[in-house]
Amino acid sequence: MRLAPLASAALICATLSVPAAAQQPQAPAAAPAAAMPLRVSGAWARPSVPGRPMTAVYAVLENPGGSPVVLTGATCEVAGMSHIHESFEEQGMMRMRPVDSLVVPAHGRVELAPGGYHIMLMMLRRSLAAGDRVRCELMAGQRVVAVVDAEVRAQ
Amino acid sequence: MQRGLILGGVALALAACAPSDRVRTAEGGARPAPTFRIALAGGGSFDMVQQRGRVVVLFFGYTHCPDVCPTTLSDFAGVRARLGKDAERVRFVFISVDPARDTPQDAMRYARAFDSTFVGLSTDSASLAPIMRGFGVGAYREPGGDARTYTVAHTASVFIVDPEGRQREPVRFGPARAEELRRAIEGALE
Repeated sequence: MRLAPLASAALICATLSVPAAAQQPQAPAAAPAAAMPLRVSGAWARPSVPGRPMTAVYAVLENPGGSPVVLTGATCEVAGMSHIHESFEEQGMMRMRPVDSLVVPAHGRVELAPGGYHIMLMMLRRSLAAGDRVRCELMAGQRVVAVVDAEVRAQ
Repeated sequence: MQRGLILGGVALALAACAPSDRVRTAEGGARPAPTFRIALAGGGSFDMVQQRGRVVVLFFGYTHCPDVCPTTLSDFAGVRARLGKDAERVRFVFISVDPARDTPQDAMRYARAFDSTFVGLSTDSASLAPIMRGFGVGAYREPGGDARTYTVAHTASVFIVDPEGRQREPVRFGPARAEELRRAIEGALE
């Protein structure tokens, strides 16, 4: 019986296009961060405002591998809904749009920063104050390709 | 439903109102800033005319905004801390462009979450429209999301009104905005 989930995980991993070095037949949530295709640094999130269950997570994502990694989403334990989003300026207005695929180029990096790409957390299950931590997983399809451990701070 | 229609009305009303950074008169002088009065949550009102002698720093946003608005108000808080004693002569004001969701109490609570001296304002869409038009601010509801989670596109420039009530050059959103804001506010204080 215990083999079934492992076999499923292996099947999912095998069907996704990810760098060869990252294809480990283990359950995604249990994979150590060091084994992830993307390196994460400088992760932080803003404190939530009372009565407003939302925030954004920012970080620098680096891809040391030889193949691009295509992010398709995020899941954050503290939020009922998490998306990769982009703020952008158009005709003098700041707009936001969901990002269905965000490419972290081979040997390249992408910055999630205020006013640009970010992980948008909606429907927070608890308020976030300075000093708290937020853990998110960045997904390429069904596979976790980075774990973001963000410190909550004002700036 | 009615609330959605109200916001839609604001969007329509502003559709013909392109954001403008023009603050100079034809003669090249700084033009008088638009004046307005909005009732405060908890009583009283915020009246631009009564702010003469102070610098007013205005940002139009919405309280369900996860990125640009908290970034801007955090910048405000950082700038205020660096102004030292001069901060007493500066009023930082947040005005909601999302009156369908933001009550005056919501706007005030939101602003004060960043600094207890900040002023948060929200008024009905009919009163809001001429204020936004006066500053050249646009806003509309982005497609997608439900009544709780929709996002709002909006002008993200910060408007600075000097102690004589004249509008200074707006400070556009950008990575170095906190420093640009500090310089602009100090310039307006001189």
